[in-house]
Amino acid sequence: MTRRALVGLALLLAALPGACASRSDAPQPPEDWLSAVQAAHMTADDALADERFDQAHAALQAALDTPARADLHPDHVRVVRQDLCFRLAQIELARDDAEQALSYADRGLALGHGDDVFTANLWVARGKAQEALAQPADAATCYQQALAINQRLLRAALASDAGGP
Amino acid sequence: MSDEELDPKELAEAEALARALEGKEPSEDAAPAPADALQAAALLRHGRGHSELGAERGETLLGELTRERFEVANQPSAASTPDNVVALEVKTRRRSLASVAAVSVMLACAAAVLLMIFRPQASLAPRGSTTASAPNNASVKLARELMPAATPALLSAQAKYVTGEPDSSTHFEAQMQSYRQAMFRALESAYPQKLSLLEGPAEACKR
Repeated sequence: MTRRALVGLALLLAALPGACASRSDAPQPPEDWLSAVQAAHMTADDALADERFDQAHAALQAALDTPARADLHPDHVRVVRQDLCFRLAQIELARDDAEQALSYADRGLALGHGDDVFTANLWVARGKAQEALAQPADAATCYQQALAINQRLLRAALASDAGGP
Repeated sequence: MSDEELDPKELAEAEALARALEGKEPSEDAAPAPADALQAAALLRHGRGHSELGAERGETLLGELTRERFEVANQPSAASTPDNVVALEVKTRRRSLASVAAVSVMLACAAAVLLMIFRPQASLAPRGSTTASAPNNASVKLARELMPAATPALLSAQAKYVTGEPDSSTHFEAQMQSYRQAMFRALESAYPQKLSLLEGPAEACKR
């Protein structure tokens, strides 16, 4: 019994460096994840100004693939990622690839729904993609979803302006 | 000489072979049997009587082996004296304690390893919010409050973009760009660290 326990302990201690190494080898989210995403947006802005869609797409896709910092609130991670998905969908629409645009819109919506601009944008992108795919009924439903959020936000914004100093 | 009639030498060899087959010693005055015939006889004898373990012989052997094992296990040893019995008990208890201690150390090490592997990172969640890993309604509300409110100009541009008005896309993009900057500024204040890529260094210093 003692011998078995000692052998088990020895194996455990032997496995410890491996476990630590595997943890450190795993892709770690960058501490400045938000900065990296901002940099990607800036690169995309510059590239899109010259219609360099591939470069813009690559920068935004890389940012989307980067794991987010674990300490960020999930809602904040969601909106940042949804914004990236929206922009990627727009690029695909500009490249006449409605299927890919739809895919990005769905990927963004799969992250969650909120009463915010980012969710509304994804509904718009989805509607545009479905319109391009000759699915007008589905497109209309998406636009309806987007406009519903838009109206709630506008009402809140106007109420806030009216109640302000 | 016919085949039926054998000469005396052949008869003597046959007799020697017959004795060998029966396992008897050759008689002193008998002629020696041919060597190859003797080998064949030995093989025949071995295969007939001794290569297979009969049921009776098997039972006997099994009984002997079982008895030997039982005797070895219950062999009275020097440890059967009272002093040695106490020493043996102490030794057994020590072994048990050592086992328990070793298992405890092993479990503690396993727990440490698991903690090291799955430990959540030190929380840098937004000030005033609860943990990021398990958002509740309050924390979600707080997180949303941290985000900049959408301006009527942005919402108007978005609505026009939905309806597909001419040049609405460019206007909406411009509105989104400024809203995006505002969002990253809000996140920067919620998660203080080296940001300000969207702003120039001078602007970052002014803040």
